[in-house]
Amino acid sequence: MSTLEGLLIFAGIPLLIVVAITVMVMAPSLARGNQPRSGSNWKAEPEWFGAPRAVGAREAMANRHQIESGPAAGHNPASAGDHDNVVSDDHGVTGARRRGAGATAMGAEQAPVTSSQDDSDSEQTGGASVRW
Amino acid sequence: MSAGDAFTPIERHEIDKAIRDAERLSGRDFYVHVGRSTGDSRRTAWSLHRAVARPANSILIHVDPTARTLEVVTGADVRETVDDRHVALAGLSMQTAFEAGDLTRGLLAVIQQLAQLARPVQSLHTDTP
Repeated sequence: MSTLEGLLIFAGIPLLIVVAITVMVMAPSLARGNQPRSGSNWKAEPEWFGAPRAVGAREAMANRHQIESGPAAGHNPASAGDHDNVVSDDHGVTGARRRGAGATAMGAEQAPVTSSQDDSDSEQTGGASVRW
Repeated sequence: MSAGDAFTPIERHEIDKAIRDAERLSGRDFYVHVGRSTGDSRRTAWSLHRAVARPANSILIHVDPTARTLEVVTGADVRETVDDRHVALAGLSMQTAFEAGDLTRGLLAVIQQLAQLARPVQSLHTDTP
């Protein structure tokens, strides 16, 4: 066995294996592109899962500035919900809740809210808030 | 995947499948929304939950990648059987994946955990003697 053959076998093949493993590990993240997966640089379009029943919600979110005034604003009342299909605008709500790290169960007695709609939501719904 | 998409088609398929499985297992409606909140993320989640087809029987998961928050809203009927503290614990299951930037794995973990929680309780007692 010549020196070149030995170099190819004992250095080239391990190097090829290392490169192959690296490519297999990196491929999924490279396929995703440079889109940041979270944080302030997030620029992706909002996405809904659970369609087609979420169509009403998607429409409601798209029209939330138009439907504040109720059914007369032109939104289809049949498209969503048992709550008059009103999605409130959050810009005018004060006293935003501050959360620390970790999870918080959000029962009716724990959710500081200001508007009557939020009062109703906090009483009727449950759930939790988690930060990461 | 285009620059404006948060998920690849495969990831979307995985999440859709997890939702279908969760709905089949629990009998509840599951919705997942990933996007920026309008103001407070909790209120945004409530707004989204109000707008779904059957809010009382629904579980809505709202992920705000900008604020790094995950909100779970359970409807009135769901709340009768699913404790908020358990929902909070289920929400924690996504933390490791989300911190690594893997929204899909995190969402799958949360959906599966919530489906288990919302599953109807099987009584050991029957009417027949």
